[in-house]
Parts: sequence; structure tokens; C-alpha cells
Amino acid sequence: MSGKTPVLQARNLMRRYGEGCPTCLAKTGAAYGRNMCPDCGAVLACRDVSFDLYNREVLGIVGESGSGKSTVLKMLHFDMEADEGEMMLHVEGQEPENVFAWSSFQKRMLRNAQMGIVYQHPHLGLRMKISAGGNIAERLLMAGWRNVGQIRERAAELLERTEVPVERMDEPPASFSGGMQQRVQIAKALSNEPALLLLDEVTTGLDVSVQARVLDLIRRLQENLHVATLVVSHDLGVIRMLSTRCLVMKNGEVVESGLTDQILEDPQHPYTQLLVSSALR
Amino acid sequence: MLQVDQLSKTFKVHSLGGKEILGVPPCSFSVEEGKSLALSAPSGRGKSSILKCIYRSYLPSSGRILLQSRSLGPVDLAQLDEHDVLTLREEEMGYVTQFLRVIPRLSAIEVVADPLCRRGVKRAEAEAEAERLLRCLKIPEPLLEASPITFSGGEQQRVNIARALIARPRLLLLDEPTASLDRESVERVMDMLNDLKASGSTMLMIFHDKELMYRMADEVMEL
Repeated sequence: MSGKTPVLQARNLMRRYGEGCPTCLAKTGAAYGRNMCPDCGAVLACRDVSFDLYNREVLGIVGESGSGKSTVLKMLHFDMEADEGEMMLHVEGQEPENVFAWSSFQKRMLRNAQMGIVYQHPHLGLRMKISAGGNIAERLLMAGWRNVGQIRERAAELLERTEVPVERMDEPPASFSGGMQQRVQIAKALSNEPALLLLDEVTTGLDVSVQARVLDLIRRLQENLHVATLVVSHDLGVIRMLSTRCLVMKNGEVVESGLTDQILEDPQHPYTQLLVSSALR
Repeated sequence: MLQVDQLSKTFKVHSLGGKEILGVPPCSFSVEEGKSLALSAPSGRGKSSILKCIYRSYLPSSGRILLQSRSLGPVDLAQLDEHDVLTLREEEMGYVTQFLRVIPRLSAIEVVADPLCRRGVKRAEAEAEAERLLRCLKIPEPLLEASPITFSGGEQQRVNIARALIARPRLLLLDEPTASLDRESVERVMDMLNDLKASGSTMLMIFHDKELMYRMADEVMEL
């Protein structure tokens, strides 16, 4: 290694729905093409997921619906609790710690100060009936901002950066187009200058031209902000465009990981080969 | 500087019942610092695959690819950690492919400036250098601010070359860099390559055109 430390180390993340039995792990996964245990009926949404995420890096997670990729993201954002595993977060000037072991108050503080997330559905990330500026202000308040003038200034700056017309900052996102809502979400996610940015299917469901604009925006922001980013998508095109390394998930487990161009040009696992050969060029 | 030792590449195709296809039969060669080596063979013998193994777009199946890296010291590219590969790509290795894949909506100048920006050069400075290279390669003025997606094959290829050369890599991998270019552009590319070589870059290359190959290469290896 070239002496760099990862911002985030995820180790053996596991999430199970149902009681579980001793054979769950042995009888599910990509090799069986299922994540429901045939003996006890428990569902393993994800298992044994480990990876390192470095500063400035964009790591992709690609896989079909139900592969567990969004579960991983939700656990990292504390939207969902992991049944097993560790999330080691290295924040500058602090000793790395397994933040899964923290209290919910500590987790909330950490999320407000160090994380940003953009969901596929804007209504998960935004309050649709309060103004776009208000959405960002709320986030800034949670991160400890107090001066109203400064908050408004910062919100305007963020909206400008994410190409949302500033004159519309007092309108609620409900009156915006899908692409604009997504850009407001991105502005909100970046407002606290997070160390970790989580993007969950951010362009899914958008028209291609709008999709290109959002992807473009993310790339430009990435170049300027150097934030460590995790991109979850079922779309290989998105993964290709944004990430330098990626993980491929199927039935709750990582079947392959590597440099994104290598995964696309020389996929090893049968599922990845199928995925790559099925993608539109 | 680069020593390839018994490198081979086999593709296992799962859709064909796990059939193994030999992409690169075992091969060995080395290139000294500042020298250029051309790989020569009929199509389908795995020349491009060798370059891809070195750049690590392909995972080598066996053998070693020893590189004297400036920042990492001696490394085996066949086994190297992904982050270190990325570091080398950013700082020391350039690769001209036969195909350009670009991000929609980025201008030719931005596409070419990108590798310099990643190295921490200021955007304005990087874009000025990108513009200089593109002009040198005779990209018409109105196209400089346009997306290369709209370019002709030959124009795209020149963008590709400018992008690979802008960071003046220590090791340059060239896969038919002049394939779709007219005579004048070919000469400009050859000038640029000679200039880079004069400043000490090491090159491993594939040229379809034998005349160009013998002009550019210090040594030719028949596969």
C-alpha cells in the first residue's frame, strides 16, 4: 500500500430478516441463486460484505434488485442496523473506531457532521412541502449552524453549485422536476461538507438527458470536493462513469471486486460476465 | 524499467460452460528506461491483451510484470494492489487505446485536461496545456469546446492521444495510435511521441503500419 489510510473500512456486514438457523449462511448466496434460507425461511439481505473506501475515491456497488447493495448503504447511514459487522470510520485527528457500537445519539451526531446521502426517491431525502432552501437550512441547523443570514447564503451557494436556479430556492421541491429535486438532494447532502457521500440509485428513473446532467454534476463536485463517495446503482453505465473501483453484488454477497475498467473488460464471475454482456453499449 | 516474465492470459467464458480461451500465450520481454519496444504479430495474437494486462484492465493469469516505479519502487503489476495500480495510472502510466470512451457533456479540452487535474495541476493551467496539444494535433477551433462524442473517428483518436500524452507518462502504452489518422496527423503524432521519448519516456507499442513501427521503435519483438 502507498501509505494511505481508508476513510471507511466496512467489515463483514450482515443483515438478516428472521430468526435464522445454523445452516442459513451455508445454503444461501450467489452459488445457490437465493438469499432465503430453505430451512428456516430467514432472508439474508447481505452478508460478509467488506471493503475499504479511501479519501477522494468513488467506489461503486453494482447489482440487480435484491442483491443487497442498498442494504449496505442503509447500514452505513444508520438507517438500518447491522446484525453483524464493523464500520471503522477514520476521521482526521481521531482514533479509528467501530461506529456501529456507538449510541444512537453519537450516530446521529456523526451522520449530521460527516455524512451526506442522496436517495433514489427524492421524497426520502427531502421534505417536499417546505422550500428547497429550507431543506438545506434544516440540514445545516442539524450540523450546528446558527446564523440565519449565513445559512441562507450557504443554501444559495449550494443550489447554485448544483445548478438549481437560486431564484427558486423559496419554492418547495414538490413543484420541481425530478432532475431538479435530485439536484436539491445533492445540495443538501453536500451542505455539511461530508467526509462520506452515499449515493443510492441517484439517476434511476430520470430521462437520459437529465441523467447525464446529474452524473456530470456529481463528477464535477467530486473533482472539487474530494469527498469519499459510495455509489450504488444497478446501471453499469453509471458505475463506469463515476467509479474507479467497484464491487459486484448478487444474492446478498460480493461476488467480485476490482478496478472498474477491469470488471467491465475482464469480468471473472459468471454473474458479472452475464451482467456485462447484457449491458447496452 | 519494464520486465515481462512468462505473462499469459486465459479467459474463462462461463456462458460457454466455463470454456477457456487463450488470449495471450506465455511471453517474456523487457524494455529499458527511455527505450521503445514494438510488439509485432498478426491480428488476434494477443498484442492488445498484453498491453491491457500491463495497464491492468485485464487480470493476468500467470507470470510477472515487473516495473521500476518512481513512487512505489519495484512492483509486480500482475499482483499489485488496486490502489497502487490507480496511483501508477495517475502518476506514471499512459495508455492510448483504439477506442475512446468519454463522459457526455465534457468538452474536448476538459477530457484532455483531466489527467493533469487529477495530478493536482490547476484547472486553468491544465486546460491551457490541453488546448495547446489539441491545436498541435490540428483539432479544428470550433471543436475544442465540443464533446468528443460528436467527433469523427480520426478526431476522437487525436483527443485520445492528447489525453494520454498530456501528463507526460514515464511509461506509455500505445495500441495502434495512428490507426485512423490521415498522413498529416500521423506526422504530428510521431513528432509528439519523439518529443516525449527524447524527454526519457519508455514506450511499449503496437503499430499496424510497419513503416511507422520501424521509424518509432528502438526494437521490434515478433510474437
